[in-house]
Order: sequence, then structure tokens, then C-alpha cells
Amino acid sequence: MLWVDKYRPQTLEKMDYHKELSQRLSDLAADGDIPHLLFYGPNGAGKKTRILALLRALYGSGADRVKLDRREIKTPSNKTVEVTTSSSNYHIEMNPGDAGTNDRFVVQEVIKEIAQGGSLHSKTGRVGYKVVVLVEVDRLTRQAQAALRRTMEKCASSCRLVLSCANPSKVIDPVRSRCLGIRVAAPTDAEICVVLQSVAAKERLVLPDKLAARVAKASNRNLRRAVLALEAAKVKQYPFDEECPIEPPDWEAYVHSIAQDITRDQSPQRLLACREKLYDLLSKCVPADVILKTLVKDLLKNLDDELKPDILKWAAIYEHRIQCGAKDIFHLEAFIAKFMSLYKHFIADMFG
Amino acid sequence: MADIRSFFGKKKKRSTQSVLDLTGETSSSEGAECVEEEEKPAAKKAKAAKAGEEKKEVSVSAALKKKKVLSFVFTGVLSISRDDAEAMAKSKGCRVVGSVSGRTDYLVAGTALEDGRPVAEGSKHQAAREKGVRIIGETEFREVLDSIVERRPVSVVAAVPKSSAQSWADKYRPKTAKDLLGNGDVAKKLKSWLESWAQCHIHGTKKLAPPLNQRAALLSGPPGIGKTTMATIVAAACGFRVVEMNASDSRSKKSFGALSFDSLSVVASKQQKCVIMDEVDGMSSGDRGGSRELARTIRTAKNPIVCICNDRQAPKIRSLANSCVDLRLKRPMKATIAKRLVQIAGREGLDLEQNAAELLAESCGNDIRQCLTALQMWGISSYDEMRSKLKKINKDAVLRATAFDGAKMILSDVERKTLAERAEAYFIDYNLCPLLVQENYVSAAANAKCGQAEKMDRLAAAAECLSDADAIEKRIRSDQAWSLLTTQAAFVVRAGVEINGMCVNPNFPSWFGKNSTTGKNYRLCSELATHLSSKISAARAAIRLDYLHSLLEYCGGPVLNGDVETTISRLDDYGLSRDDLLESMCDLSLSGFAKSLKSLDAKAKTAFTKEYNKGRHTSQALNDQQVAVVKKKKRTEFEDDDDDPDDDPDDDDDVEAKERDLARQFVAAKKQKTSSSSSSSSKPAAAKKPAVRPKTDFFKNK
Repeated sequence: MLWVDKYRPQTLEKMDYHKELSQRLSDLAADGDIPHLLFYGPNGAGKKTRILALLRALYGSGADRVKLDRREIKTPSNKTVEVTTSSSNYHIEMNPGDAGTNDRFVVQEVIKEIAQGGSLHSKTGRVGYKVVVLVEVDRLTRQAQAALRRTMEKCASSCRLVLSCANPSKVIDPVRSRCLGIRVAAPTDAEICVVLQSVAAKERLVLPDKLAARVAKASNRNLRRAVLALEAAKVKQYPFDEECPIEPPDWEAYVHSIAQDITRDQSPQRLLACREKLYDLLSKCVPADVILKTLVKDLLKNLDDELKPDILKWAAIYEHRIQCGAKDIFHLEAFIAKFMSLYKHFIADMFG
Repeated sequence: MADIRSFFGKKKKRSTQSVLDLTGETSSSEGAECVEEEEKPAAKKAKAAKAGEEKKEVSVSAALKKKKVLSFVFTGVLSISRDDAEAMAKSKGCRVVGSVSGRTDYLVAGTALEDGRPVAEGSKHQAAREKGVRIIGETEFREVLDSIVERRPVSVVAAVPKSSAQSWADKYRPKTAKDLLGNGDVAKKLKSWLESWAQCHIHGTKKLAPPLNQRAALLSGPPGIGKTTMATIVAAACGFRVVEMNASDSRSKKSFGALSFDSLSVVASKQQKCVIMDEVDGMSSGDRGGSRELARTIRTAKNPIVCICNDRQAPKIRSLANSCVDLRLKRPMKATIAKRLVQIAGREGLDLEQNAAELLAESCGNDIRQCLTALQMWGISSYDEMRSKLKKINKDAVLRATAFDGAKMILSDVERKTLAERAEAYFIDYNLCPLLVQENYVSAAANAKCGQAEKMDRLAAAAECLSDADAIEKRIRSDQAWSLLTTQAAFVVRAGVEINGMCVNPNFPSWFGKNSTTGKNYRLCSELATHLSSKISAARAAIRLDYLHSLLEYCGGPVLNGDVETTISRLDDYGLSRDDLLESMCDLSLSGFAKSLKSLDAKAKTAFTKEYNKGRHTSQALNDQQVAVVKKKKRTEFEDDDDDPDDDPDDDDDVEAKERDLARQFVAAKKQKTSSSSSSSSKPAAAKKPAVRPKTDFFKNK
């Protein structure tokens, strides 16, 4: 197992940071009756870890005995949608976003089934409902979310929903208002350093503070990435020194090469070459907004202050367009074209 | 020449014809001799014209004296557009060819190639030098044309009064098989099918290979190229009496019943009938049950049935096509049509130029019937006049323009189209057009005549418009807001105006290919997420962004160094399979490591695969998947009935077979019934059953 999986805390008490939040969650679990919950926060902040810990606090180790199920759900237009759920006796977890445009039927079918399954009183005696964990709810279509809102009220007696997403603004208001929102903020660099040191201690490694700080910084406040990067660094070189290289993920390196390309040369040919690279990234499942964000961060590093506000403005505009439009490449390319145009003029003005 | 009845003559002619046929008379043979005769006067006239030209044209060149028609090839950018240059040459009766051959007289070279290279680098230029073709510039080209003395003034014959009674399309309809234009192979096939029909289906003396052993034939092709004519002529030539049913007849279930009864009774008589079902794709609501009845009739028909349709892909036709010999007609070449047009025009006293005839054929989309109707109406013979006339009248040019032409119109300023025309071009195919423009606007800007900084400005402006257009398109599609289509058109057209460059040959949008790859990779990613779901906390997106590269190196690293066992145990820890590592994860990653793993040499790969298959992998996600695969396999295997896994002595296969058995056992257990076919091999499977049951092994790692 990778360290990140090996040393994931299992209980609410063992969480390394957000102690207050952990306390509130264990209070909820102790009370035995939870409302619908909406966990939100960036990747690698620990949403899922906390959800699983909460389930353990509610149901005990029984929540760990999960099995996978493939379900086939028929849509009214007679199409079969396949979703994979993992469920224990007490909860069921699924990613309805995988069903694409048919996610509405998945949401309706599965939750109804659980709601009709009756309460659990006889089995546990303490908690009388099942929990449905839906991850990546921000990927759900509007229709599916609308289907969710009524179901949430109707089935409240026999099941609770625990939703998890990175971006709560993509969850429709009615659903948000029915949930208790729980923000799992990204850990600070200092918090990440503490976790890294504790992992290193468990692995009996000596980790220089400065290297820990560098790993934390490179991870963009994503704990998962930080721990993975630490392990990768250990494979490359141990014992550690302060100057250990930290390799960025493959896609980040690729975005970086685009940033280099477009500051070096601004021409139609270069734009076409960038289009190919963007297509590479997109087709390898790197989301367009992540590409844009990473690219802009990279570009800003070596940019004159005079240009920065303009570039940021256009980046914001095109990020919005990505949300509005359907074909990501159009907008990413438009941003690069705009950057090239601005940069070319800037260079020309500066050197005559 | 073909089925070229003009539409006003059509109805009347058809109804009389079918009556005649039913009563057993063949239709009258008026004008039958005309086709044979028409060649002579036309040829004479052509000769005379040539003679006239040769006398007057002394100045041009020796080549001209030997040959009657000069042929030109164009290359590079001229000061006038290519179309205009070609028109100039054609109006002098010259030929314009696409590529240089030994018979080419002149290569007209422009100043530079379209992509900016010097003209001498072009392949045409090189070919011309090799073949000794004279290469001339634009001014010389004009001189050569000027030196060709005008042909005698065009004689516009009042054609209509001469043949007012009958349309040319009807009058010069082919009467024998050899008069048919084009599609000779199809006619031959139809003939051989008809000839052997009786032997095959009534007497049973001859057996034919599958496509030809059907009881019916299906002729399909665009209108006006002679489908009905071919069917009628070939059937008559094979000695059948032709019964035609078209859209003007009622073709309901009832009338079919009557027909088949009728046909049965005629079997005994000497001349057998051949039923031609014209316009089967036009069977509409009035002909309720007609097409099904037709398919039923075909299965038991005692007469050959020839069905004719335009749209081969129509859903109605698809079911019919299964029980028919599928014969597809293509449009004849424009040169073939032009030759016939000149002959017919000659017979009607109209001296039609070859170039004019070709232009007409081209503008009518190689529809012979339409060509003749147009020719009869206008009575035009010269190329210039034809060109100007077609410009005015040719309404459906935009229908024949492809989306690629549309993108060209939008992106190129050379064509000097108005905004309205460009918007029209967008509507040729509003699905494809934005993609085409997006694919090609960068190269169009690269060809623009301006500085690099200016080019980038134009690109940025155009890209912004296209980005807007995409946002609008999403709105149109998701909210059904089709009234926004014109807005999208405006943005796409504006992108073209901003570019103001040149686009010669638009590329097909690469978006389609990339989009399908993206879709495939997302599926792989989801599958990976499923396999990992019980071991890690990340969802799909996080797996791709955070986990993938680490996991790939963690699992794949050992195997690259030859340590197969570690890789397998790590894969098992995470519930991943060999394919997940070597296919899915490598395909998703952009790193150099993925490449080196993907190009792992064959030997190491086989060793890994062998080792992997030896072990048992008890991840539930994988087992479920295998069950699903086996389920599908099983259905087919039951039909084949040849699965006996114990027969195979080979070690690898044995493991595989056992696994298959286990999986099958698994299915059987799930279904709560024992499968009879696997009972022989169920003992070893039963012994190992606990190993694959999901709940036993699965949670220990946690």
C-alpha cells in the first residue's frame, strides 16, 4: 500500500487537523440522529476520510464490511445504465456522475430502493436509518439534482444522504438548503508538515523540516498529493537532504511545457502546436478548468506586473466560458491566443 | 440517357403506360430510331466547326493545329480567381484539367503557390518540366486565349416550338440497353439476375450464390439518372412483360393482395410478368401496411420484383433490402452526360458547346432529366451564356456546396463574400460549421498578409468569437433555444471576418476524434475508480490528478526492473488487474514512465502475463467483472456446445478454464440453480469456491 492509504486515519478522534470539525461530527454521531450532510472542500482535504470515519462512529465496524455491486438500471427509453455501488448493511456509496446524462434515473432508483427497504431498528437498535453516500455531486446534472430534492424529504425517515463535492456552487440551492453544509477546508502548509512528519516517523525516516515545507508548498495544500510526493521523493533518493527534487505530476509538467512554449514564441504555428498539447491533456482526462488554473499560475510566475491584471482578467473570462460552453478546447485555445497577442505587444513595446 | 421524363409529362405518360402493359401491349416505339441517327449530324457539325477553327487559327502554335482543343492546367495564385481563369479558358472552348499529363498544352503558373512557396516548387510545375509541357505566365495565357479566334456567333435556336409536343427528356429516353448512360455493371447484374430468375425460383434447376438468389432486386440511386428506365429496358430485354406500380397507384395491403393473386394466375401464360415497384421509399400513410406486405409478397413471389428507391438508407427500405439483391446506381460522369447532351442538342438543331454541356451537367448535379429540361427551356448553347444564366438561376448551388466550401467561404477574404453570403454558408451545416472554422482559423490566419503581431491580434479576436459561439451552442442544445442559431452564425461569421486570411483546403475537425478518445479514457478512468473504490478514498477526478502517476510508478516500477512478484502483489493490494496497469493507466498518463512501461519488451510482458495468470486475484471488483464477461460468453457457448475445459492439457489454459469454471459456479450460485453443463467440472471448482467468494477474503486487508 502507498503511505497515503496505509496511514489514513480511521476514526474521528485520530484526525490530524480540523479538530473542531471532528468534535462536531462525533457529537452528531453520538446523538445518533444526523441530518442530511453536504461535505464540501477541495481535493485532498479529507472529505471522504471524514465521511468514512463518521460512518464508523455511527455503525461501528459493520460499516467497513462493504461489497461491490453492479446494478443495471433501465431508463424509460429502455436504455440500461450500469453503475457500481459499494454497500454495507448500513450504507451504500455510489458515484452517480458516472452515469452521464442518465444520472437522474440512477439517483431515483437507488434511493427509492433504499428508502423502501425499511428501517434498521431491529438490527442495530440505535440508529434507525441507512446512509446513502453520493460522491462528486457537483458532476450531477441539474435534472438529477432536482430529482434528489424531493426524494430527500420523502425518504428522510428511513435514510440520510451524505453528499460530497468539491464545488458547492454547482449544487442547486434547494439541495443545499436541505443539507447541513460541512466545509472541509484544505489543510495549511503547517498542518501538512505535521502530517508528513508523523508519516515519516511511522516509516522511521528522517525528514528535514525544510524538505517537508517544500513538499507541502508544491502540493498546493492538497494533503493526498503531499504524502504521495513524499513517498515518490523517498523512492528517488534516501536519506533525504534539503534539496531533494520534488517531481510534479505528469500533467502538471505537461502544462508547464505549454506555458514555456507560449512565452517563448507567439505565432499561429505555435498556437497550433499548443492545440495539440491541449488536446493531449483533455483526452487524458485532465479537466479544462484545472488546466487553465495551472497554466495561469505558471504564466504569472515570470510575468511583468504590468501584464498580470490583464492576463488574470482574461483567464477569469475564459474559465467562465468553459463552464458555459461544451467544447473545452475552444476556450482554452482562445485564452492562449489572447495571451500570445497581449504578450507579443508587450514585448514589442518594451524592445522597440 | 435515362429516365428523363419531365415532370409535366410524367403523370399522363405513366398512367397510360401501365394500362397498356396490363392489357399486354408494348408501348409504342415512337422516336426509337432517333438515338441511332443522332450521332451523325452532330459529328458532322463538330467536324465542320473544327475545320473552321483550324483555318483561322494560324498564329497560336503547332500544337493547336494538330489538336482541336487546347488544354490548360493552372497552378499558383493568379491575379484573378481560379474560377474566373477557368471560365475564361472554357469560354474559348478550351479544356481545363486538374493535373499535368503528356497531353496538356499549357501550364499557367501564378506568382506563388497558395501556401506562399515559390511556384516552381509545386508538384504540377515539376511534372510540367518533366513532360515538356509549356509553362506560361498570366499575361501569356491571356495572349494565347486572345489569339483563339471567336467561334462563330452563337445561334440560339428557338427550340421550344420545334418540339413543343413532347419534352426532350421523354423523346430521347433510351430504348435499348446500350443507350443507357453509365452504370453498365449494374445493368449487367440485373440482367443476369432476371435471366436466371425462372430457373432459380420456379423450376429450381439452378442455384445462385447468396446475393443473387433473392426473389427481388432493389435499385437505388439519386433521381434523374435512369433507374426506372434501366429496370424497364432490362426487363423487356429479358422477355418479361413489365407491370409498373408507382406512387400514383394505391399500394395498400389490399391492392398487393390482388396483385399477387393476379401474378399467380399468369404463371402459366407464356410471357411472364416482371413487377417494377417504383418509388418504394415514397410509400406513405396512404399505403398502410404496404411495405410490410411488399416484403411478405417478395418472400413468396412467383414473379421477379424490382423495387426502386432514392434513399437507400431510409428506415423503411432497410427491412426491405434484406430480401433483395442490392443494386446501387451512381450518377454518370459529367463528361458522359455532356456527350449525350451535345448529341441531343444537335438533333434539335442546337449547337451546344462541350464545355457548356459539362457546366450544365455539373450544375444540375449530374441529373440527366434536369439537364435536358433546362436545356430545352433555355435553348442556350454557348459557355459564357450558360455561365451567366446559371449564376442567376442556379438556386440550389448552396445545397450542393459542402460544409467545407462553407468554411472556406467564411474564412477566406479572397472570395469576397458578403456577410449575408457567409451566414448562408454557415447554415449549410450548422453542426459542422463552427468546428470546421475552429479547426482551420489558425492556418487561415497564418496565410493572412500581415505582420506576426497583427496575426496574433486577429487570432485572439477570432478565438474569442468562437468561444462565444460555443457558449451559445451549449445554450441552443441544452435549452432547445434554436432561435439563437442566427446569433451563433453571426459569431462564427465574425470570427472569419476577424481573421481575414486565406483557407485553401479546410481540414476535417480533429475534435471528433479527440472527443471520442476523451470519452474512452473517461470510461477507463471510471473503471479504474471502480476497481480502486474499496481501497482508496479518491473519486475519479482525484484519481487522475493525484493518484495516477504515483500509483503507476508504485505498481509498474518493479516490473520494469524485472521484479514481477512485487508488481503483482502490489496490484493485488489495490485490487487492480494486469490490464489496468498496462492498458488503462498507461493510456491515461502523460509521463515518460508510462511510455517506457507501454513499450515494455514482449518477452518481459509475456513473462509478466504468465506469472499474473498463474496466481489467483481475489479482488471483488475484478471477479464481478469476470462474471459479467463469462455471463456473456456463456450465452454463445450454449449455442455452440463445444466447451469442455477438462480436455485441455496446456497449463495456462487450464488455469484459465478453472477460473472460468469458478466464475460460472459463481453465477450459478447467484442464480440459485445449478447449471447442467458445468456439472462435470464442478467438483474442483466447488473445492476452491471459498477462495473466490467475495466476502471471505475481501476485508482482511482493511
